[in-house]
Amino acid sequence: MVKKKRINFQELILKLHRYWADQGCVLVQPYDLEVGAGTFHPETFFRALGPDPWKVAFVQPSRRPTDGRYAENPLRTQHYYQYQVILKPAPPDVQDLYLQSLETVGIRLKDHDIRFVEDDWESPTLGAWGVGWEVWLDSLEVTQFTYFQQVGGINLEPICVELTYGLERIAMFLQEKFNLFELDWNDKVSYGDVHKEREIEYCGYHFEKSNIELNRQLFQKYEEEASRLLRQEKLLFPGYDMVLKLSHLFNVLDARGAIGTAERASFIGKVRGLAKQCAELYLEKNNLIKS
Amino acid sequence: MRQPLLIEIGVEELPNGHLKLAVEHLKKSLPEAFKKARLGFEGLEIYGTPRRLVISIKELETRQLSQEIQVVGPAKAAALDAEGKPTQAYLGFLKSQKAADKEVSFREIPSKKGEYLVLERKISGKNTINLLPDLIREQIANIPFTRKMRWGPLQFSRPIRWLLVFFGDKSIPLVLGSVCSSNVTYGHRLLHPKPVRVKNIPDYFKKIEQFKIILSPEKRRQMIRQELKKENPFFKEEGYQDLIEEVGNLVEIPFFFKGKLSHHFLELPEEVLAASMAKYQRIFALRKKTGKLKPTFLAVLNGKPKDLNGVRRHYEWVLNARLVDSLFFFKEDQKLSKGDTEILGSELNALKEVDFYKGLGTLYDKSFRLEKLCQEIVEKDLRWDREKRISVQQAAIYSKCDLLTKMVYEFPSLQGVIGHYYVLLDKALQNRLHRDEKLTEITIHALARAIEEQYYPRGAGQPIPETMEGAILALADRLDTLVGFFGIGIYPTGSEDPFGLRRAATGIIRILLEKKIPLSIDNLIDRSISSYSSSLNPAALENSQELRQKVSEFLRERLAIQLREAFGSTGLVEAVLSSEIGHVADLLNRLSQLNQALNEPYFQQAAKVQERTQNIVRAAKGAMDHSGVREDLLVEGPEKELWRAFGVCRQQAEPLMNKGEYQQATKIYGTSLYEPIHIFFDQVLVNTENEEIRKNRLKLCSEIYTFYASRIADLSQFKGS
Repeated sequence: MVKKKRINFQELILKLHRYWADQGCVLVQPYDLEVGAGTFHPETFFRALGPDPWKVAFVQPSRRPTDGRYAENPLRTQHYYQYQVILKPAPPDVQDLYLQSLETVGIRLKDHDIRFVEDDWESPTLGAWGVGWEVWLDSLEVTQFTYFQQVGGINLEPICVELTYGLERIAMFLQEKFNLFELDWNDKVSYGDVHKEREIEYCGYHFEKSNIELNRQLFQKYEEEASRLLRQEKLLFPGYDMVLKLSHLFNVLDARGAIGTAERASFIGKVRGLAKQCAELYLEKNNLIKS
Repeated sequence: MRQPLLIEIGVEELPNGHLKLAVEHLKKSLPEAFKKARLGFEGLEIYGTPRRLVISIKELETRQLSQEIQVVGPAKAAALDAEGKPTQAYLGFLKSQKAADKEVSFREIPSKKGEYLVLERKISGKNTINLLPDLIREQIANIPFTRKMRWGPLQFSRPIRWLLVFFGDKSIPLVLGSVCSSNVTYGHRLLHPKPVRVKNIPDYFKKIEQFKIILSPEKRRQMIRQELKKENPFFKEEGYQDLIEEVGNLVEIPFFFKGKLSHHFLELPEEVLAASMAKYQRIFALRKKTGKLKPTFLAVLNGKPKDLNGVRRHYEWVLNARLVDSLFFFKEDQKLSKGDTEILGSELNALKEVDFYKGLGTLYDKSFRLEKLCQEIVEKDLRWDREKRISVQQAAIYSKCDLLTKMVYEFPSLQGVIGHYYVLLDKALQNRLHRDEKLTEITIHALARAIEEQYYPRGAGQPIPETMEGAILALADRLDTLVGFFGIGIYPTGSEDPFGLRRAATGIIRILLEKKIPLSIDNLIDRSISSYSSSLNPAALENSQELRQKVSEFLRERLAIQLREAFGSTGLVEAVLSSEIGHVADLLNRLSQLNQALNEPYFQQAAKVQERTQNIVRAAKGAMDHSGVREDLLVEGPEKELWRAFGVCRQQAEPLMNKGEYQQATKIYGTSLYEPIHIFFDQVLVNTENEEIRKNRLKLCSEIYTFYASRIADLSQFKGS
């Protein structure tokens, strides 16, 4: 029997890069602020708007404070890596392209049970939503597959498709290792070697130690600054950075249990309002009509 | 001539709800469309899998039925001049209708007077083949998906990727957005990914069979049910229907396999295990004959994977990881219970932060309103003993606490169930209740049970609460909701009922009827209204008189619907509902007894008495005051006799009515008054000139009518079978 060469975590990323580069995607780098998903990257958020075609792929480290489990859960962490692909316009054979990418990285499709299970993804803070699926590989979600319909509250024309791979999960199938921290990062170093200590500390921070008062004040200050940059200075990208900071602060406060149910809607509304302003400003600056 | 029609719409995976909707919609809209197009057809079947919608018609006319049209033109007088020659009106009509002279003639028109110039034409039908493209396009565009997506020029549930249209042996060209129909189809995504040419309609079905694809959603569901029954012959479908339907619509080729559940997780409540398995992996928890969970699950895959062992290993591993999470939540929730700290008790104060609804206070307020409401009912109306009373009151206080637990956050459908478990796991709470309220273990179990049962019935056809504590709490909760929303002016409309008020009302009626609880609707409403005014944070509810009436009407509507379902629409239900309702259980008793007596002669007699007295009374509305019948004003023989007979009847029937022996009471009423009332109406003029005597006679009729109608039923409304 031929022993399957284990594809380690960094190999997986290289293979995906190669595959999508071959499809004509621009390989950009991860965004350098705390974000909850690749959707927040300006390459997704802004490129989705307007009529210009665009193809991009990148790794995005994503932070979701409420998902932390002190490194005790084999599957869930407050930080993980997404592989994000945006194809605009959505190609007619995108499902096949996606499945082919899995085959290319080493998932032998016929060995598995693959399902497209209804899931209409939405980000309330970004005013973005789409229609699509979770892709299940043997009952585990490994990718979010979304045809975006709106971003920043604006209808997209043409629409784009977003493929968001959960890299750790795909790696688990490739390596037959079902604990995240035990994954081979490369031939010498494990995922846990790189991330375990960080994971535990961050969980402690998010659930127990973050400074609520400070974060509330920061939220307020960034909110004011966002408004100033967008409304007065018409500085789109610095303004958008503020929105990202607000979104992350919301997540941190939320994980800390500092946001009451009544307040929640109000926080989300504020961030969404500013995201909408960003989208509108983008269209304005690019002389595009708001559709 | 007729030919078969086949349409296959190939799509990217349709959501379960959309697939279901599309199939149901097309089943109705296609026949309508064909009828409108005057195309006869037979043998319509609609199939659906996640990747295709299939419309199959065994026989469809190849040509529209021809139409005979008739267009009416000018009247003869205007169409012909004095010499009988065609006028401008005549010629103008021919021109406008592009008609030849031989196509028109003069006819009598039934709705008009005289003769008119009429054009009669036979329009031969178009060929179906020419009508199909537009018809199909329209049908596809009109499927009312709750959410459509755009991916190009079209909108649909999910992108359409291929089209197959065959009429007879011909493949019909049809363009939909950027998709052109052709004569190829596709099999399972991985097993048969390449396009496959289809020769004709029988060939299509043959290929589908070769692909092992099951086109019919019902057939796939059947296969799943069968497989579940194989595992456990006593398998009960309740609670599994939704999962079976969804899982059926996630596959084209159902393939079954079983896997193991680690014993480690059996410490979790069964409901949590089943909910986690259903939610995260769409797999089925299996039960033994005893009802206990097996450490095994059943999964339905889409086709057989090459590495089945690998897939099984993965499923088991994922199950493990998910249950680690559930166990985490379970333990986190119970972490709150340290020493004297109670699990649910800790959440009670937090309920002050959670709104029930704007204007109706918080969940904390609601919990204490429920306590008060339950207390009033069980103390004043039902007169329960102390321990049972305290049990339901405490259940009310803790009834909403589980809504803040991590477990319910993760599995919202488990609200109530989690509360039940957490009471039983909460030693601190139990000790306190034992110490302060002197509750025994049995009562505490009843309390816990009530917290779960407050949500019963969970839907139409689902069971009502089993325990009385659960029933009272379930009633109180729904009343509080109904009275609250109505009180701030929120009512269900014809198409929208976002707060489930109809469901709440139906639940109240079902519980009162099926548990035969001796409580009156109006009394319950009053108690609920007063619990709002005396609560810690009184809500500003509408005027209570009006409110009580609105809620009462709403509940009566539901009551009528429920009763009609059981007793039919003969008018008997309406007759009984027109009387004073009192206890709903008593109402049911009256209905049952009368229903059995429908063919008895005494029933017919009683109905006649009611009918005749009611007629008179209705005609004389307003002419009466509230004073009683005056014996001294009874002058004629028959009216004196009627009064005497009525006196005897009242004496005998009243105690029977009080005991709930309505058949007997009806017998007395019918037999003793039938003859006298007829003689009275035959021989006595009610509307005599003498006003005092006239009023007295009306009062006599009115009392006879009211005696029965207010206590039992207004039989004048009964139409008969």
